[in-house]
Amino acid sequence: MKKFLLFFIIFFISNIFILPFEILSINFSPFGEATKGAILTYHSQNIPLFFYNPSNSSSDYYSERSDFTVFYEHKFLFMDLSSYNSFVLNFPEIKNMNIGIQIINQSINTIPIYPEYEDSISFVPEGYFSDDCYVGLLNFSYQIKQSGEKRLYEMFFGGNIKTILHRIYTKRGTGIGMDLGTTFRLSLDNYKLPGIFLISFVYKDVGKTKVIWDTDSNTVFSKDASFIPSLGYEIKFDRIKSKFFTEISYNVYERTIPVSIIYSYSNLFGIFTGYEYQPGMDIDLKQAGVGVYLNLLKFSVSYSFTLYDIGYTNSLGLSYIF
Amino acid sequence: MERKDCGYKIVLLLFLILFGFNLFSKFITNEEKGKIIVKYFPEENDTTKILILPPSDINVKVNPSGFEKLVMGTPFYFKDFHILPLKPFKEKYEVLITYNPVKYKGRIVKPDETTLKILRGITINEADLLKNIKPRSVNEKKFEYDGTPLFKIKISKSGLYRVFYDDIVNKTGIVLSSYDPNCFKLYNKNVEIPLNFYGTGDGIFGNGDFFEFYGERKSGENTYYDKYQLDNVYVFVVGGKNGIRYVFDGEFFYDTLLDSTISSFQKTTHIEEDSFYSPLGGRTTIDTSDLWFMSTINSSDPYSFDLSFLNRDTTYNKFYFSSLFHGFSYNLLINPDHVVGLYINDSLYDTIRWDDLSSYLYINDTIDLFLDTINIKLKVIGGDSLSLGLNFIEYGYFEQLIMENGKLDFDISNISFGKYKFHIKGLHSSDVKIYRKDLKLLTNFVTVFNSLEGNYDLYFTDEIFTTPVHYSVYQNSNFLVPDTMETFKNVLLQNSSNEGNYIIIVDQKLKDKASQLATLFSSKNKVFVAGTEEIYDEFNYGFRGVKPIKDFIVAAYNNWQVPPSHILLLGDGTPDNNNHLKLFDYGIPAPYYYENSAYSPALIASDNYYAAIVGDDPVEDVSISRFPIRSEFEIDIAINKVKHFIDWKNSGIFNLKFIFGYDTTPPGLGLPSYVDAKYQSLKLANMLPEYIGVDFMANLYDNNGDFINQLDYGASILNIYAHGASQSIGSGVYLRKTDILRMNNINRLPFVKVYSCDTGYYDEIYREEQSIGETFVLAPFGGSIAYYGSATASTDNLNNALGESNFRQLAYNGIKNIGEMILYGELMFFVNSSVFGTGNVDDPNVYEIKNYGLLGVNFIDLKIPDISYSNSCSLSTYTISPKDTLTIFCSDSNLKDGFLQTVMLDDERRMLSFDNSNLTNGFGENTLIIPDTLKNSSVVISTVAYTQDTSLLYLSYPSVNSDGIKNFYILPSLPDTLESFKIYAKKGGKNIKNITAYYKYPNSTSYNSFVMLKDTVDTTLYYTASLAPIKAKKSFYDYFSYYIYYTDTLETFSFTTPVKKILIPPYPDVRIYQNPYLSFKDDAPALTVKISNAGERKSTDLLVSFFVIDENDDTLLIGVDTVDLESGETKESKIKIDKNYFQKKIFIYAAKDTLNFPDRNFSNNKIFDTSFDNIYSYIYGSPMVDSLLTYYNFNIVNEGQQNQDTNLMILSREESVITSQSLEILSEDENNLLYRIRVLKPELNSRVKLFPDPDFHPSFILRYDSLSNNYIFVSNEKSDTVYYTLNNYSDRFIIGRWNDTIPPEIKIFVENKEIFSKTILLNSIDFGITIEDDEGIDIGSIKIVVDGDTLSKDEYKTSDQTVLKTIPIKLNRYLDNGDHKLEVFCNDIYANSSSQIYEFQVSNQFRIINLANFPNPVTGGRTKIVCEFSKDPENSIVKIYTSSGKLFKEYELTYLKDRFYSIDLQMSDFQNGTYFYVVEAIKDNERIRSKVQKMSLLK
Repeated sequence: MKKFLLFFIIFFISNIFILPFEILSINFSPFGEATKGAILTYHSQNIPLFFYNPSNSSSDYYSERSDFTVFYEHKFLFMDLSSYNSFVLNFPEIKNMNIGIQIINQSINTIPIYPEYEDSISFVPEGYFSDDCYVGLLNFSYQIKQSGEKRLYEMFFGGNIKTILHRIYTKRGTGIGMDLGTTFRLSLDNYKLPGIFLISFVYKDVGKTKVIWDTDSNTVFSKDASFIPSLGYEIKFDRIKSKFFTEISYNVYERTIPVSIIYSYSNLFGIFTGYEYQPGMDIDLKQAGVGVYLNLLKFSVSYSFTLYDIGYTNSLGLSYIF
Repeated sequence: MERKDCGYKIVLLLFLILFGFNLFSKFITNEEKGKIIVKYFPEENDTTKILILPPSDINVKVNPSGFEKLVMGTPFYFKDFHILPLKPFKEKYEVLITYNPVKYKGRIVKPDETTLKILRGITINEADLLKNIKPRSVNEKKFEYDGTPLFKIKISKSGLYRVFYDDIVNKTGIVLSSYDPNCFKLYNKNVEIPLNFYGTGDGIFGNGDFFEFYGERKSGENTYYDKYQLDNVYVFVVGGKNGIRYVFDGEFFYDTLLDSTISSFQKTTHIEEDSFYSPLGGRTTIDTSDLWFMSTINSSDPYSFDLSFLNRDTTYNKFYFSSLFHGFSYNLLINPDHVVGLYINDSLYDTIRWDDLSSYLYINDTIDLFLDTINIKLKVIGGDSLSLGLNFIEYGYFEQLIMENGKLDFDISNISFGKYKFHIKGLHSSDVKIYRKDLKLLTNFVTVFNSLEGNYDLYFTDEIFTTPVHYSVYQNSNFLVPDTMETFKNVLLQNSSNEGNYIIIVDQKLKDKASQLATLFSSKNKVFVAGTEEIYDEFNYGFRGVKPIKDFIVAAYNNWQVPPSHILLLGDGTPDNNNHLKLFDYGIPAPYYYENSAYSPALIASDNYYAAIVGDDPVEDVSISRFPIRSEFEIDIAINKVKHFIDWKNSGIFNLKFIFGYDTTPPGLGLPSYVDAKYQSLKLANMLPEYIGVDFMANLYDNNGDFINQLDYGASILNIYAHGASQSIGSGVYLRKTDILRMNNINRLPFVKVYSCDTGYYDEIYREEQSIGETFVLAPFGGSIAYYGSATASTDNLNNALGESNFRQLAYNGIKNIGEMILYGELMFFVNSSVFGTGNVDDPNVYEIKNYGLLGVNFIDLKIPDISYSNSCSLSTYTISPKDTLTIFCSDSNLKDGFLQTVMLDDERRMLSFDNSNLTNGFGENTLIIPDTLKNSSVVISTVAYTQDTSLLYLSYPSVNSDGIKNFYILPSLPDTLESFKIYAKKGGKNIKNITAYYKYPNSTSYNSFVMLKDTVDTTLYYTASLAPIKAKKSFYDYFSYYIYYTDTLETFSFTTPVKKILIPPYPDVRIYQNPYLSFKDDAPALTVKISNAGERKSTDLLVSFFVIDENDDTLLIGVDTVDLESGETKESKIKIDKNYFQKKIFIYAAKDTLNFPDRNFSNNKIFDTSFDNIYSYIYGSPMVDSLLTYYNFNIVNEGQQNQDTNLMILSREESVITSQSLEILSEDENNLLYRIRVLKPELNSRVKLFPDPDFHPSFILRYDSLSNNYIFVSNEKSDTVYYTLNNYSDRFIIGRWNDTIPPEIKIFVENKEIFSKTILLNSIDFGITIEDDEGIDIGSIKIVVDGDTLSKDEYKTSDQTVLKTIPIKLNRYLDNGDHKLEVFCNDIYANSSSQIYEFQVSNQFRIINLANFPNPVTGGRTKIVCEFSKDPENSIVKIYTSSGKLFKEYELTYLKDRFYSIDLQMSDFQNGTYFYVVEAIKDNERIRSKVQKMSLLK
């Protein structure tokens, strides 16, 4: 079995590096757009979102990830000005090790071609081109659990290796980068308090992620590293089969404070919302998002809606565990 | 995770991986519509280029657009690529191609390297080939039988057949008793035939059971015999739903109900015995549907036969007679060409007349019938025909319904709807069955014993609705039995799991034997052997034909896992494709093409049809060859040859030698010479690598060549340019079929290429008439391994180009595989001969190349080594003398066992000496015997060491130390034209003595000798005294031969030089032939004759004098022309004339003006025309008048007198061939618009009609008016047809013809500005419209429409004149806010129409009209965002967002110009990517926002 898995890992790695992935300038938001920059908030252990948190931690405290998970998400960005696709495959956990693979694509089509400005300008485009960017992610994570039946804490460590391919018109940019992250989950039972406390540190684009373009000047762009500490708290109300999870984090690079909350009922459905607070700015609904999900046996369907200055965005996600 | 759960999860994972991969591959390969721009720059001596394009939907435009037809050929497919030929052109242009990207199963597949390499040699845009390839398309054919076909019944006669269970078991081995008989079916093609079963009441078709059906003989589509098969095939199928059965009809009508009784029927007898094939030739009007004949008919040998009218119904006294003839000859001056008398009982009954090589069907159905036997005789009684072909005879009469041999089949067609009784006589018993073909078995009938005849009469009734109806009445014991029953082959050839890059197609019966041949190729290839029956069964319902074979190849090409790249047809093909002469049973049908070349037969066999798979072009996509076996034994020949060839040790020894054979002598008067063949051979030789030994061999008039011995010695390639026939090559018959059959070079099999007439045929029926090509490959003890023959009729320009392009693959592209050499060579030939440049697949070149025959085994590697570097040979001496023996040593520890080969080449690359030996442990030794005489010039010793994995070339250049007699010669060099001459000899360094010249005059049988004298100054020079001159003959070749004899000083050895021969050609022989005619010189009419030099020497300054003879028979010199004529050359000699000599006597004489000149020999050098009957017409055009004139092809039709007789002959300027209509003007022709016209009956007025080719309509004829020096329409109006009356004695310059296809140009202005915005901010609008056309605008056609309302002329201002080249129009309209449309239509004076539509919005509100950034994509780090408002804003800003939707920058726009605001955006702190931006503006408290725009940065 291990050999078999190893084969598939090698197969996928080889595919990732062969396939032309590229990086986006977009900052992906987890779980649709609705949680607005959160790095811990997700409704299920089986939606691996290591793009946001490389430690790839699980929300289910006591069980192992014994199954494969696939997750596909499509976003109609900004009233369909742009489209986004993501495909994630998470492998079962082996000896506390977890491997995940993600392929992301964002496309912007029908970008008009115009020549240099002249006095007799024409606003009729000479043609159209597209902007396609692809990212391939390979995630390794490891968790340390307390032995025994009653585990009070868990620690997750993980990292992403990402390959990037960005194609605009006839030019291509290629690059590679790395993210690191860790999450610590502590059950407060020991302190006679309800719930679980989480603290997480995400260090993205470690040492800068560079993208080299095949333009005449072979321009190199680098994305600076960003550091995001985050705190979370989860509490269950068994009597009403409900669970709340809330998170607050701070994006050092962007200087924003994402806040999110998720409510789920009996692991059957849930609603979630988020707000990305920018210090010094007025409250604006366009910084908020809202979403809903539904679990059907091994399937999960989610939808979220977010407002942006240049149009609203609909996201649709599907996952399957097997 | 538990291991036991893994299985299904892994499967699901795999599924998801594939799904995800597939999903994302779409995003990855989601390319925009592709664009290619190719720039063409003119070059001197440029050749045709090709562009390799994606094979998807393409759109090609040429800029400037007017060049499109001039530079672009017709695109075609080659091996899945889309190829666009571009013709050489003198100006630069651009080709713009847009296409949809092509994927094959989601991936872009690269072409194979060989193809790429070749195509790169002729392409200018190979990069696109790497990105795109056409996927092979799967086109599996559906199974068309309801059930499973089990066996085939083949029949050759029409009638009722009875098939017994036992017979099926015996003939096919198939036991039908295990199947349900209800579902038995019989198919003929895809049509189910009704059956009648007996003995299946028990539910089992078993022992003693049988079924019956009505079977029909096979016939062709237009002819009595099918082209490919004589037997009809019925396929027996089991399974599926129930089959069709005969209906039992037991009704018997009473006499009172009947309309009448039928006791006779119209019997038609068709007599057609195809006994010989005549392909005919020459004219395109020929009917080629049936070129098999039963007899010839000529004037001395009439065709006679008796028609029998036994049992005729005497109430009818007429009979029908029909006969199909085919003319074997034609003569335009005799009308009609063929006159045949139809004699009935030796009295001339009718005369049959027709013209040309066409067929003629004679039908007469009213001939009196008065006897039981009538003699018919067909006899040629006029016309020019030497003989005719008789295709068939058919006759019909009313015969009584009398049964013969227990059977009676008859058709009833001449009755109307009703109930009828049939009375049939002659039954030998009452045990009879009556079938009506359309599903009925009539069971109720009456038989009555006829005591007078001693047999039975039969009565049955039937109700007839429609006619014809067919009845078969058979005694139960007289049913027909099928000739053949065979099992049906269910092989599934088109199955995609099949593999075979090399397919062998062979007759089914020889399939096992062919497998032995296949084994020889299988080490390097996937070989697939397909039997013919398998192919016919799967692709053509069991019927033989060329189409099923083609279908099979196409299916394999498209479907197979490993598709074919080579096809070997292992079987002969002949015109007797249906084998009705029963001469051979194992053929593969040959496809036939119509060939319209005057030299060639009408139908030409060519396998090109099979191999041209993709597209509708004639270019082959796989290579194809044919080994023309007719028996199992001949496959053994192939096996034997291939074994020898692929044995490396045996084949290695002759690799270095190529032989070029040529023949430079015209085979007869009037036929072309092959002078070019020599130079072409030299050219090919020079293409070859240095180390290849080259020998030239020619006919006896050039250097002698002993072909057979040289071939026996061994060669890789024999390339022959020569005259040819099916029995020999070369006009001197230097290579005959018998020679080849005697060859014993089995270990030294060359690849033979012959470019000649008739050598490419493989369509001879009889073995003794087989072509040279067939003989080479079938020669049992030698011959060639493969053969390639060019066109049926050879012409230098085609053969040279074809040969060269084939050789180029070998020499430059490194292809050593015969199949690929031919395939790619032909592609290059097609491209370079501009076949696709013409845009006309009927181009004669296409026909020429179609008619090649590639015979022999494909896939043979010629084993020419690739030599990457060279070393110096180790020679025994580096100074060599004649007659020396030179040893070449090779010692190279890097080499292993193999061969060592050495050639010595002179400075003309001719091979002087050759040796080969084994190479053992890197050591080898060759020995060269130096020739007797050696020029004191450079020689090359070239040695190649071969091992299994290495080839190494050594080259050395030893110096030549000539000795003995170094050189000997004659001075002066043309001893026949001067008083005397001497023989000279130059000796080398060694001491020799007794130097004697031996010489022999023509006609002498012995040599004279002369002891040569030593020159006093040059002591190495010896000479004879002056010898008597040699006189040339008038018409024969002569030789003067001489050689030098000498001894060493001790007189121990004597030496003899080779004999030199001097050809003494006959004198020039100047002849004038063909009556004087009109042509043109410097665009002026000229009186012209053809003059030729039939001799072998040049004639210079020959005077040709033109005289006119007046009424008093006085001769008046009109003019003199001087010509130079090379040997064998024919030229026009012409003088300009300024008046017409129509009907005058013309006398022309050619002779030298000095009597002292020795080289004169004139025969037929005078010509006298008693009635010069040409007038000339001048189809005139000049680019001076209007540069936009375009001259196209146009047609001239003789409108002559009544009945389209031949009063006028219209002749092109260059062609001497007379034709009566539809001449084409060739655009390349120097005087392409000039015609001469010949009048045969001057007493009659005649007319010609001129009209443009319909393809170029509309275009009109104009007449040149000399007074105004301008072109004007004929009769003051435009007309596309002109009737021009020829007044016999006057000459006129007439008609120019032109055409304008460029429509007028319409421009729309608003407020005096050209429109670039779709919004107009005024309600009262001043429009301006300009219309321009270089030829003139039809004012009356102008139509202006605003919002659907057509404006009247007084609503706008325009010019009053009727025809103008530029028209300005002014128009003012008041329009409300909203959407509007302005449409302008007009024509030019040639009805080319134009329109311009302007859709716009009128608005005086505050809004953003346009927003964009220039340039986009932003490549220079800065861009200008420009926004057009309807009114100037108070404030305007642009907001720029990242692609994640976050606000990134914000700037204020500044005023640019009238209502335009902009910002020059420096993007230095932007990263590469796409950004969104919007503009927001305020005016009068109204806030507006633009749509989101996209902008990409690429730094």
